[in-house]
Order: sequence, then C-alpha cells, then structure tokens
Amino acid sequence: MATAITNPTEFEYAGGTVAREQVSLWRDGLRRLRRNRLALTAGIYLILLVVVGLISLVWTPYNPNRIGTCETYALPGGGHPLGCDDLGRDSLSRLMVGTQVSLAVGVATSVIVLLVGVVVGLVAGYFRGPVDAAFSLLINIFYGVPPLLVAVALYVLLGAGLVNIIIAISATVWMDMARLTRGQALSIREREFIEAARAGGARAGKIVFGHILPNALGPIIVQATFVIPVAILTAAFLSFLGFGVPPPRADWGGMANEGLPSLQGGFDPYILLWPALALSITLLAFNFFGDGLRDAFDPRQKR
Amino acid sequence: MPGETLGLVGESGCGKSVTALSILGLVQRPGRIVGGKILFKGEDLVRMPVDELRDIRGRDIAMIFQDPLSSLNPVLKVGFQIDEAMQAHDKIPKDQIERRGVDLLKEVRVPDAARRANDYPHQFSGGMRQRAMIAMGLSNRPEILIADEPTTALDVTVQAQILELLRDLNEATGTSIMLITHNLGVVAGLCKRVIVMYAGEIVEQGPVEQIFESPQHPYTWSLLRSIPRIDADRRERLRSIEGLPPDLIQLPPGCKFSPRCPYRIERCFRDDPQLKEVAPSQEAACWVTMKRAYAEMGAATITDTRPGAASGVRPPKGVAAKVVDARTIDAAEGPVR
Amino acid sequence: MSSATLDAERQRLGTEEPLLRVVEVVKHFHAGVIGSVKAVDGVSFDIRPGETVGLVGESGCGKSTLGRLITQLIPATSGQVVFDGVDITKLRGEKLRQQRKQLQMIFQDPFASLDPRMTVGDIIAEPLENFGLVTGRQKDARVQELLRVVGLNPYFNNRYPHEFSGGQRQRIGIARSLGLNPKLIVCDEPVSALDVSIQAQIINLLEDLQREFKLTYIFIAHDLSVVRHISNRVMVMYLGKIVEISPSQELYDSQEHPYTKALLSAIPVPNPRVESQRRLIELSGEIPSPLNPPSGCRFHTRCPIAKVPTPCADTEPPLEQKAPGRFAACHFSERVRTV
Repeated sequence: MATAITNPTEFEYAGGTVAREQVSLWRDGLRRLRRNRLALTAGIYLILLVVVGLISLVWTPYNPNRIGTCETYALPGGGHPLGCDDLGRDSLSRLMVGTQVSLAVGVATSVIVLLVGVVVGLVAGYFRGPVDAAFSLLINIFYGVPPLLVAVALYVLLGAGLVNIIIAISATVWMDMARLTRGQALSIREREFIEAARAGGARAGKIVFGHILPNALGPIIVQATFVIPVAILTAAFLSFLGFGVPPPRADWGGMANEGLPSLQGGFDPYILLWPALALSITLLAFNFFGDGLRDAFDPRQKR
Repeated sequence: MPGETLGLVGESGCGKSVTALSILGLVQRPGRIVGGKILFKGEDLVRMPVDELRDIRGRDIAMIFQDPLSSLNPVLKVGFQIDEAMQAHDKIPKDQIERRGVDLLKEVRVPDAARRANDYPHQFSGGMRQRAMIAMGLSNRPEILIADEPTTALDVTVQAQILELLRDLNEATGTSIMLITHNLGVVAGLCKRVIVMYAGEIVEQGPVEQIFESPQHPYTWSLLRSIPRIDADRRERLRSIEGLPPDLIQLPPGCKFSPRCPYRIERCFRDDPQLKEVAPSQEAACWVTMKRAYAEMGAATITDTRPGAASGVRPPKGVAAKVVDARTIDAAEGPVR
Repeated sequence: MSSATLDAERQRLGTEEPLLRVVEVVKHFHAGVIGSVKAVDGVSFDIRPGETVGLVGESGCGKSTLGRLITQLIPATSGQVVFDGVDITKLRGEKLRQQRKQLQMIFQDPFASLDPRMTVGDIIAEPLENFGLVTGRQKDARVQELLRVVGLNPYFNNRYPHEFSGGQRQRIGIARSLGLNPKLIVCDEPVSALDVSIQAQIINLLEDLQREFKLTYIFIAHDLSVVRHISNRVMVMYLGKIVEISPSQELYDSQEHPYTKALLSAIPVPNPRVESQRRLIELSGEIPSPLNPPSGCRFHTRCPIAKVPTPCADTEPPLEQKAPGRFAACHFSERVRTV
C-alpha cells in the first residue's frame, strides 16, 4: 500500500487547508467561559474558598474549638473581626474551618454521584432493554425516598459522622446524574459515528467509554457542578437540625444552629449572620459557575 | 421578466439563497445588504420601508423552501394555513377565500383536495407537503414565485412531478418562477434562462440552451462535466473540479475561481473579471473564456483537471499564500514525502 | 466499452466464485402494536470479487437496511449472508468482530460519522487498534500513509473533524475503512451529502482505490446516474424487494421492470434538448407503507401495465432471468417497452 494513487504535488491535496484555526472543543469552551463575567467572578470566589479551606487546615487566627478565647457574644471588633459565639469561640476561625466541611461534603458527594450516576446511566442507556428497565426502576424507587429520611435513618443506624452524611446525600441525588447520562447515552448511541465504530470492530467497552462518554462529558460535568451546592445545602440543613457533623467540629449549618437562640434572644445576630452569608454566597457562586459552564460547553442546553 | 423561468445555480454557500432572501428583505442579522438595487416593477426593494415590503412579500413575490415540513405550522390544518396566507393580504375577496383554498389544492394536484384541506401537515407526504406549499405560494396570485431548492428533499419520481407542476403553472398562470438549485438537470428541464453563481458572484448567465451547450466560464464548463449523466457512456472518468469553494470570509484576490481553474492565466490572480457579453445575450465573468481554452489550451481533450493544469500557470509568489488560504492547497506545514 | 470487452468482463466475473452471496434475507422491524415494518423482505443476489454493484431505490425502499445487513451492523430476521464461504448471520461476538476486518462501510453523512471528540489520526487508527494491528510509532506512519492515499495532507492527523469540509471528511471516512484492507466495502450514499463539484472528486477517488486495492463495492444511492456511473451492475429496490438487476451499460437503453423505467424517466438530464424531449412516466399515488405492503407484486398499485387482480395483485413475481445477466421480478416484462 506504499504508492499513493493521487500524486499530489505541494499544491494539490484535496481541499487542502482547513478554514478555521485549530481549536479543540474544550479550548473553545474555556474561551467562552472566560468571557462570562459572572461565571468568572464566581470561579475566582470558589478558588479563594478552596484556598481558605486549605489554610484553615494548618492555621486559623485562634483555635476554633477553644472555649473562652474571648468574651461570649463579643461583637465584631478588636482582635476578633467577626466577633465570638455563645461559648466565646472566635467566629472567623470557626467560619474558616467550616469551609472544610462544606467543600468536603460538596466535592465528595459530587465525585460519588459522578461515578455511580455515570456508570448506571451509561450501562442503562447503552444496553437498553431489560437492563435499562431494571435501572430505571431503581432510579424511580430512589426518587420516591425522602432525602431527610435516608439521612436520619443513616444517622440512627451508623451514628453521626462526615462520611455518613456524604453517603446519605449521595444516595438521594445520584439519580439526576444517572438519568442525564442515560439520556445522553441513548441519543449518542444512535449517531452514525457509533455505527462506524462498530463497523470498525470496536468492542462494547470501547464504544461506551471511548465514544459515548467523551461526547456526553460536557453535560455530565455541568451536572456534577450543580450537585456540589445541593450537597452543601443539604449537609448544612442536616447540621442545623442536629443530624450533622458532631460538635465541637465547626461547620456552617451547625454554626447557624448555635446562632439561632442568640438571634431569638436578641443579643447577637452576627453568630447566625456569618454562616448564613457564607452559605448563601457559596451556593450562588456554584450556581453561577455551573450556569457558565453549561453555556460554555453545552450551548444547545441553554435555559 | 414577466412569465420567465429563471434558474439560479450554484453550490452550497455560493450565495444563491441569500440572493433570494435579499429580494424579500429576509436576510437575518448580522447579514445586511450593503449596496445595490433590487428593482421590482421599477421600485427599489432595498430602499422600501419594511411595511410596504411586507405587502409585496407573499402577495406579489412568494417564496417556497426546501423543507416544507419546517415551513408549515404542525398544529394547524393545511387548508387553514393556505387561507391564512390569503387573509394576510387583501388581494382575494374574503368570501372567496375558503373555496379558493380547496381550488388551489386541486390546482397543485393534491388528490381529494376538499378532504385533504382538513388534514394536518404530518398527514401529508413530502411531495404533497411541497404541493401545499406551492398552493400557499400561489394563493395571492403572485407575479414571481421564488422556489429555493424545492425538490432537494424529495425522491426523484416525486421531484419530476413537482417540476412538471411548476412548469404547467408557469405556462397556465404566467407567474414568473425563479428556481434556486444545485441540480443542473432540474434547471435544464424547467428554466429558460440560467444564472450561475460562484463564491457570492454571478460568473455566467444566459439562455439555458446556450449555457448548457457552450458554457464560457470554466466553472460552468467544469460543473457540467463533473456530474455523471444517465444518458452518457458510463466508463468515461468524471472530470472533477479539484479543491474546495473558497471561504467567503477570506476570498482570494482576482477571480474567485482561479485557485481551482485549469485554464487560469496570470491576470486571473490579479484582476477580478466583470461580466461581459461572450455571445448574444450570454455573459460570463472570465478573462479566458472557454472559446480561448478550447483554441489555445486543448480543453476538448483535457483529462488533468488540477488547478492550472491546462494553462500551466501557477499562482505568482506574492499571491500564493492568499490562494493557499482560499482552501486549495496546504502542504507548507510539513515536509511532503 | 465495446461489447467484446463487456463479454470478456462477464466471462471473467462468471468464472469466479461469488465473494458475497445473499440468500433470501429478511429484516422486519417491530413497530409495536401496529405490526412490523418489512424493510427488507426476501432479497437474494451474488457479488463477485472486484465488482461494483449499485443499489438504488427511493427513500424507504430498504436499501440502507440491506447495506447494514450485509455488514451485519444489524442482525437479519432470517436468511443468509454468505461472505467468502461463511454465513455471517450465524456469527456472534468475537467471531463477528473478526469478520469486520473484511467487510467495511462508508457512511452517508460525513458530519455525523466521525466522532467530534477525536482527532483525525485517532479516528483513522481506531479500527487498526481494535485489531491490534498497529502500536506506538507505527500508528502515525500508517495514519499518514492512509491520509495520503485518500488525497489529504498527511500532517492533518492532529486536527479535529469539525475543521474539515464535507468532502474532506468523507475522505477521512474512506481512509478509516481502508485501513483494515477489507475485501468488500459497502458505500452507503457516500456522495449524496456533498456538493456537486466535490461529488466527482469522491467518485473518482473510489474508482482509483478500487483499482489499486482490488476492492469490491456495494454502492448504495438514490441517484441512479451516480450509481450507474460507478457500478458494473445495478440492482433496483422497491419496498423491500429487488425488482431488477441489470448490467449498468444496458440499463439506460432497455428495462425489464416498469418501476425501473419510471425511475429512469424521472431523472433530470443536464441537457435542455434532451429535457424538452423527455417523457415522464408518472406513477399514480404514493409509495405504500412498508408496514402493510400490497399483495402480489408490490408495485401493482402504481404500475402502468399491471393486470389486476390476476396475476399482479395475487401472485408475487419471482426475480427471474429475462436476458443474459438481466433479472427482473415482473409478470409482464416483455411489455415494459410499451409503457
């Protein structure tokens, strides 16, 4: 097969150059993302949040768990820019440490949901038929279970703990990811390049992970981004209700819980304000960033 | 001209559909008509206010499209949609509209027209839908019917029926037809006059017999020889046009066809040729024209259709890079062999 | 081609064993409660090595389904597809996968048939890697060789499909199918999505490749002029059945089936003089639904020479030899001339 039939001199390659500059779809998406101000701001905030979380692992202004660092209910000012809580612990230090729990819950849940949802979705969507029916039934059953019930049940069965919270939340949100992936797989498997891959002797694994998954990755990543704020909010809510991370470990939901009586008592609104504010801004940031990602990588799926 | 059948031929992206949309002022943003005039009965449509143009659209100049399914509203009955087209203008008296709707469907040979008028578009086959579109286009007795690739989505037997219908309508009603297509056979069957477009410009125009028998622009000539013909000896190798149409964002200097033309001369890379008469009522935009290509470059026996093959002319040095951008060539990226 | 060389060709073809033998192949798609779509309904033919056989018909006639049955991209409901002596409808799993090396396909839509997330090099190399035919550095060399063979710049291997035009993409698809050195390539409408000036390039390329690599083609298209140009023989399909098989040289001058004649009469010829003489044989009605095809001869509802009810509406005509090398499924093929 050494001889070429067409004998192109430098000037006669069929069609020759390509019109557009060489950009991969990913780089194209990144460029669009960078032009989205809101998403960019949200992204920068999230990076800062991660940095704060990392710093708090090794350093905080005060020991966040030491009671009596300052006067109880101390208002912001002095050596304590955010004031102190009902036990005289430094609010800024606690807020910084609370970042760890939120990020850990968010990211870990997202990763678990990604793994479970994508595998279930791909298998159901690619093999269709009875496999799909079985998985779809499973998905619907899980949809029927109230998230709070699962969380409380796990709390009762396994006790309090970060890992249990992550498992509980993952168990209640993986279905959206599975459904999305299944839909993607169902439509992508009908496209002609899948048929072409089969004609070229590709095995099922290669088709699923080499062709379907990469083409579904855009929406999947976007969905994974949206899982993070949901997980953070749920975790905070559980903590607020007292089913969350056991004290004395600081987390935003627990801090809000502790701040509630002082607000109701009318002596220190700040204890509740700081975790609530941190939570709100973080959730907004994740949502704006997720929206930006969706617009950048999945333009067809705009709101 | 009134009653004429005009064919507008070219490949995708050559600007033939945009030309038609311009006539009706339907070019979408960011597109814009930057100059020139479109005269309809002595009035310039480009300068006409939007609401006056809207009156002309559908009433005096109607248009039908390639995909009749997406041009019809899926939730409204076909008959209702035809009636609606008539209600939009005051040309047809109100009391006659409904009867005329059914008559129109009969006229475009939809069998059992009275019943089919109450059907929804999805109940029609592709060919029937295109007939319904034609009925709608004709509903206000337009003077010009612009048909943009009306048969491209249809099977060949259905295509033949639609073309025959258009031919008969032209003869019976005197409606002028402007047919936009990439299919030269369709033009040969329906049109009296033909315009060939390439890269947004008219390269040749004239009476259909003349254009098909002695095309003078190398593009027209090559196009006619690059298609397999059902009536020809099948063993003959097709004379393909090498290269690709230019990127309209980055047009080559001089003649737009020069990067692909076997008969190009040096001048073609420098100056853009204008349309000029090459035979009675036939015009071509070419510095060489096929007469000269036959006489001097042996066009009759050419088998090598690569750019510049017949004339031996390569792009001049300064221009070469730009011609490369015009998507004919690219080997500068690495050593060849 | 003179008739002497034509005879020689026929003789040559006649002495060889068929490369592909399709026997009474049937494909029914279930369509829920309303029954099943009889997409391909009992089709038989042979293809000899080195031949190009065209398959034409209008949309919904089952030609693309037949192409996918031959490559076993979809399983047949019944019947045999014997390739190189092996009935590939019986093969499953790894054995079927191994068979794909011999039997390749070129797809219609050059925009849909290339994975947009892969580079051209990876697309072309994928079949080779599936069978462990290339490794490491060999891969680039082989990909570049294939790119050169189809007339593309070999240094395009790191580009993505969206950077190419339709014709260039179709060349990439062709390079992909050539890599495994197949014996038979099913070309499913390979030029219908392309511009007129590009179609000729691809047709010429396919012809050159056939000569160079001793390929056998099944060329599926709705455009009879293109099919006739590239094929040695043409098979005409109507509603899941083959109605006529004819050497392409003879097809334009005489037909043995009224549908073929009607199809030919509808093709516009790019010559105004021919066009003004053309007489369209208009078929009454529309193509019936393949859910519920007509009884007897499927064409009888639209046929200008059918005798209804007997025999056309109650007896299905078999595909018979009407003249040397010419087959048709019609009760009255001797009367087709009079249409």
